[in-house]
Amino acid sequence: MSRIVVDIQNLGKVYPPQVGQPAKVALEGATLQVAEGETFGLLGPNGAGKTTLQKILLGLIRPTSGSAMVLGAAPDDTRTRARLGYLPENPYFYTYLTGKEFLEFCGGLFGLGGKELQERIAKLLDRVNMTSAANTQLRKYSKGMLQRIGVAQALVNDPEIVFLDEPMSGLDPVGRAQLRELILDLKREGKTIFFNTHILSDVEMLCDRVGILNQGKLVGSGKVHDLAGTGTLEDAFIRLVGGAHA
Amino acid sequence: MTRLWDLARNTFRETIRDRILYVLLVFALLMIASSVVFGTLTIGQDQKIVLDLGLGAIELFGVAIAIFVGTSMIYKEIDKRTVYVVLTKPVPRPIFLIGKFLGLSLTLWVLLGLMGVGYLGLAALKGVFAPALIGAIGLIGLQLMLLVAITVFFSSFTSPILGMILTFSLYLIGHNTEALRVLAQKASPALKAAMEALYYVLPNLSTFDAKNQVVYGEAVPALRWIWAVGYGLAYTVALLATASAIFERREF
Repeated sequence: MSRIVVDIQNLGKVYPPQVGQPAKVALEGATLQVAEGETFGLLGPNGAGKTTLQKILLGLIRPTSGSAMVLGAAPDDTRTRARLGYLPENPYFYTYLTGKEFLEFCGGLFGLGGKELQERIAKLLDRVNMTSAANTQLRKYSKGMLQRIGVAQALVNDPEIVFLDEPMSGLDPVGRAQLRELILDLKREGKTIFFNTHILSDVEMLCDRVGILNQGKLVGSGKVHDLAGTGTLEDAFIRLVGGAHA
Repeated sequence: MTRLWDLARNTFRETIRDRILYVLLVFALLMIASSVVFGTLTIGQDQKIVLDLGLGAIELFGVAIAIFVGTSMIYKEIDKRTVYVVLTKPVPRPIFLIGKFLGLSLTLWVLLGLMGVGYLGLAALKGVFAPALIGAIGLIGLQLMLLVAITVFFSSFTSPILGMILTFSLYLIGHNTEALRVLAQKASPALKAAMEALYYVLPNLSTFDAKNQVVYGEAVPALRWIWAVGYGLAYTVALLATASAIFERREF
């Protein structure tokens, strides 16, 4: 088996109580691993803890129990983050910047600059089909365009692992097909892809392995066809999480 | 260092492209110009009025922008989730805060420069230009940086509205800390100690106020300038360090 690049052991996260709200258990005893070059899909209904798990892997929040290692190190290590790419859910970017300025800004945060960055940005803009909108301010972008520039910023450092949080949400069918093609391209390049979704058809088309999260617990994981068994992935999904959402 | 500059430049761009800034700037320049009208209403004092009102207008608008923009700039990053994009890249959290601070400070210095040129031009026209006026504007700039640092400090743990109220209160208290000392003399021993402690801990913003001396042509000793620069920078650094320590623990 190839190198493990995401290693989660017994991970738990409890959000402290807020005014008028009790403490919330977002993750409980989650254990999973992702190997280099794999496309891993984390499935689950809304509020299952998918975003919490990704945020821990990216150092935005800290686990209450257990451990999470990315590329063999803790996520709050800036050297680890230099090798990751991330597209947040429903991304909002700096609306006063143009697409190109935004990518220059993101590249700068990775310590990139000069001709090398300019060449990379030109290639990325072409790759996400945004060259013609490069000098338009982000406030004028449509949802699909924002998503595509979001993918471009997630790739600006040529990352080893790409984290995508609900990348298809809000996209029209054409947009989804384009993004799917892009993810398949990344996969062919050997990148590790970790994405959160609740859209089963995307998982079936793109993922090597999946994990199913429900109410903070990992209720199943494995290869897509192993989980599906003789039925479809949808059957397996409903069987594993259905009870709570019926 | 390049990351810090990128973050500062981005905040500078954000604030300088905000249209509300230009409305305020035009208003400030109008107010500086209107001091000429007020000057003509007084006998023999018109030049002082021009100098005094102009400096007052510069400070007022600078403070308004520092507090309004400062209290919302970090909250906006969190609320609009742009902070996810920045903090998931190899950017240490203190660098993010300091970058925001430097970006807004740069904007304020540029605005101060524009208002200053208008003001000094008017002073020259009236034949009352003095180099010390530039120093007085510089001190306003230092004070604005300190105010931005205060807003960054409050943004690291509180909401923008509360941050705004607290920063504005500190601005008012900071110009009257001497009153705390006077009150302390009349208080009980325990209260006296507390008030004296407050006197030393709260920012003494009158350090940056050389308006009266400069306007009335009194000499301002060199040590006064040096002390103001040192005090302003030290206080700013202390605030940013504390804000960074708090921000490190935050979850998004």
